[in-house]
Amino acid sequence: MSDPSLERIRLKAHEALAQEPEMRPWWKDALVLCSLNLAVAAGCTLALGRRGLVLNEAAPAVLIAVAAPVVLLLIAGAVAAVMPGRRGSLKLLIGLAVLAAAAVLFGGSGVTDARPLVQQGLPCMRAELLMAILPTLGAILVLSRFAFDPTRMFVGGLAAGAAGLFALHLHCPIGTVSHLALFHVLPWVLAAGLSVLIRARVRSKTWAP
Amino acid sequence: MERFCDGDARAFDALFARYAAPIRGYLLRATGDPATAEDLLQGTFLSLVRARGRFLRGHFFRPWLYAIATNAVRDHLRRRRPEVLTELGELPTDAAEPTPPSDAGLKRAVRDALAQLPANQREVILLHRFEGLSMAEVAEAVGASEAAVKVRAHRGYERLRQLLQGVWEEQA
Repeated sequence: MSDPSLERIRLKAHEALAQEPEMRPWWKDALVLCSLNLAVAAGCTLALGRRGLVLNEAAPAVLIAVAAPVVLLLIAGAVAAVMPGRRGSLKLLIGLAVLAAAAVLFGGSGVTDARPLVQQGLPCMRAELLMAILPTLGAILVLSRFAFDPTRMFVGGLAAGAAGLFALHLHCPIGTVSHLALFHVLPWVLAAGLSVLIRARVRSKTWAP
Repeated sequence: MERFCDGDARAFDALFARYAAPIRGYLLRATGDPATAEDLLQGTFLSLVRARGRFLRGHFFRPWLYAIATNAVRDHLRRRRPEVLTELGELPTDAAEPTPPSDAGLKRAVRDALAQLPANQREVILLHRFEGLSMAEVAEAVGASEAAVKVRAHRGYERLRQLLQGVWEEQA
């Protein structure tokens, strides 16, 4: 190659190829994120459930109907966030997140708490944000290996936060719409939004889509 | 591309020989700065090597490579400081193209007009008009639907026409 600057770039690329002769398929990243989300969901459910795994007093069928879209989002969101191409799947996943939020809001047991709204809700909000930290950091770390894409990161953040949303769904005995909206759904969406802001500040390791 | 995905360095060389110069031209037009274009070109090909596991086998390679280069430009524009205009309110002129063209005034007018377009319209026009990608390939490269890309192109060309109206009249 006659152009010295192109030749320098070609040699650098060869060095990189020699360092990584084996390619890393995208589904390995999906597997990592799915495993992390599921492990955090299971771990937090067990940790919160020392005095009973399920304190939510909704009917078992309702419990399952609410948990299903949340668990589906937790798995499919992690896959869609790292899957190359197919941007339509990201829109589908945001639709699934809306469905999961609606299920959480309107599938509550209706059980109230005598304490003021903020006082009864703060422990839930704190727990949910804490449970979101590890899977969200994992999603940011994995997604920083590709080009920054806010929609991908938001879906990855929603999937990561779904771990805590699931644990709280089983554990929290309060089932009013206001409590569920302010202290279950809102922190979940906020954590996903925050993950996009953090990811925007993290340098991408590659610019691959 | 499939041989390159399996780690074949000669397959990489073939891709590099075919695409390095066009991608450099695209990056130069998109950034207006030869040094930046050089850096982004290196990043584009390093990304190609490191993230080749994200290439979907059976898909076209060219739009995927342009998608990496487009992301490189977006990342650069997102991180750089805002362009400082000269005292006359024009874009800085140090970003000259490598070969002095005979119609330098027209080229400069087109470049300045392109620089005034919103980034999403500019990248579509650069890929379609200057790189010769089809609308379907542009859509894949910028990560949008073909319909959205056509709307951006229409608006971009319309705006370019307005910005360059005076130049056309002068040329005529």
